[in-house]
Amino acid sequence: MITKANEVKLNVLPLLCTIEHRYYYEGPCRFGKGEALQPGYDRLANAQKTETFLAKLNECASEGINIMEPATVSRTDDWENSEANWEAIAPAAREADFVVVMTGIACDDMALEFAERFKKPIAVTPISGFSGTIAVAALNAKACNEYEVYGFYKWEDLAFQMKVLRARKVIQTTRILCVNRFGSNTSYSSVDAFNMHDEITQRLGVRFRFVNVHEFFDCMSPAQPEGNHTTPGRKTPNLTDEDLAKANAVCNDLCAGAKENSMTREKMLPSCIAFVTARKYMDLKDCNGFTMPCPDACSTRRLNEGQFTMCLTHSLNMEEGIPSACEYDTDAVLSQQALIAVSGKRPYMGNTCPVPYENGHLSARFGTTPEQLAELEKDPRNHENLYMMQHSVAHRRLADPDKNSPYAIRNFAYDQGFAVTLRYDFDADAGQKITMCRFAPDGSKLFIGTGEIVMGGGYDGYNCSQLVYFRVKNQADTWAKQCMAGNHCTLVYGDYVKELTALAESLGIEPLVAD
Amino acid sequence: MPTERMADRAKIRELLLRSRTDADSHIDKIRAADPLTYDTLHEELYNYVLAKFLLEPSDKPEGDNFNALAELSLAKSQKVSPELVEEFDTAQSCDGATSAMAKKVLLYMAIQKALNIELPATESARVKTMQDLSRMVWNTLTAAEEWRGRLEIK
Repeated sequence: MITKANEVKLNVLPLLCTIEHRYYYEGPCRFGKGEALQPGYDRLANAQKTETFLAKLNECASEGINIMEPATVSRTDDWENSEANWEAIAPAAREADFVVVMTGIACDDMALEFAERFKKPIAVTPISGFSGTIAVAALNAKACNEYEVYGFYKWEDLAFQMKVLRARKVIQTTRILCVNRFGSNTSYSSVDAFNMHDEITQRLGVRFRFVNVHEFFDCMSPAQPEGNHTTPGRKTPNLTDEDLAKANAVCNDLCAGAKENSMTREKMLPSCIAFVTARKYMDLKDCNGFTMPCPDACSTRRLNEGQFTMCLTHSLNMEEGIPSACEYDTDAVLSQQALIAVSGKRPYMGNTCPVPYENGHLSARFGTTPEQLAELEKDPRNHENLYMMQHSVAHRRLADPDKNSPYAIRNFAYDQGFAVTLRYDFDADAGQKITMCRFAPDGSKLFIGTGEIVMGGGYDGYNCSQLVYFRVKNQADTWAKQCMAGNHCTLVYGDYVKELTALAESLGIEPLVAD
Repeated sequence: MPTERMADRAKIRELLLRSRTDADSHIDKIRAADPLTYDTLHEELYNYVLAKFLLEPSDKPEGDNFNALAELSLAKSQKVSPELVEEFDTAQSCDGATSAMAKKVLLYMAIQKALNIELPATESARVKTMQDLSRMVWNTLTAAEEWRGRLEIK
């Protein structure tokens, strides 16, 4: 099964810590008049407070936040603490990702004990008033330092943090299908990808699943009675009639919607089969991210033989909110996932670098053309802080995750005309704010940058020439921080710096925010 | 000035006494009805709430919103006199309960005592309209031993 980021739910357990007075009395911790001091008043008053608390909590729940049935730890002023009560709420506690507590005077010890027993991230809410810091400080001060505890004095802060924790869960439940040829850590063109998978798993929770590139390629054709060449005699997930029908449907859909198409249907079909095969493997391995090497795979000559590249697979995955990166860049996969998780939007990725102004001209970089640079030079604002992101994996859902934008289809291979790439006209989005990010190769940092789209490039071109130019605030600072992360940055439209910064912090890694 | 203040206090005391007597009379009508119908309960309970909240029939809010009644009562009492607020809104807690919450709970306590019933806590917190309140009280009466056989169940 492929679990998309938008299907990941954060299970939030409301924990009600309450006390009921059994007798009439007043004193330093109890005040009121008449009926408010009588037994029975607290039963009804706690219900009122609970209702308000749950209503506020539900208002804070954005998409992907599942507010569970509340759990209660209650007692009377006999100060009992029943094991049966803890046992009763244990199943809900285990299911919860995050616990939001309603506490109050003489109840904070129950919130504290809950955290000690179940060790779940826990928050105290504004409804608790001055009690908001009591259990929080007590837990923060524990020598073991193993509690994740928040005190919120504003509901909007709780709402924000729940979004961040959901995004963290998305990261922690990412499983990347890595189709490798040589080593399984990095490929020849992306040594800045995650370089120690186990460390990344320990640090971020991400899992890596592997398929050999030759076995993958073998499965792009129908099964033979004797089995595939690489796995003789084994049953393998080879192309079926149903798969071929799916590939044809993808091909038809692409042809029907394209404004321009330089390819024949026959030339397009192998890329569509590659996409269907990738999805099939992801489903079989329960993965929700995908990557495959480019140079390592290219040099097998099997891409040439089969007349496809994986560009289309990455485009179609990304436009459906499934992270998918070129060049076996596991880092770019997870960076995309981070952006999808915090924004709900669809990412783009590519070679990312400054376009410097030197000797009175913008300097050429891979993918730029003299015409594009001449056009950009006309605006002095582009001289100091221009950046670019370039790969032919644009798609139809950058501007709107639910609606296709206009697009063209052009071949990747110049000479033989094979391999589908989708071309998107970034010119249409000039002025659009973007947020980009990339993890450091050891997962210890998250580079975060922003920019404003200036223009596109390569819409009319072929091969890997598709790109987008954008202005950053400070080219030098952006570059210095990007150097801690690597090449393939990923972007989404909009400003998500605050969300990404909070996500990095919640993952326990350093946010590197470009000025 | 002292004379004016004394006169105000006398008025307040009179107002409180009148509202208590008025409220008691509606409970008496509920208790005396044989059989008690839902419509009678609703009408008398509504008048009881108005009396307890020091409101007039003309104060009935649109949609018979129960929370609006509690809030209106608070606002009115605060306008009339701080003493009234103290009298009717004293259950200030230190754990986040609002004055309106306290007002409703005190009303529930009074209804419980007057009719010798125990209202369901969770449902009581979800009461939005006077019809909700009447329905909750009616359902509680139907389950109470003391009221068995005295209700007209359709």
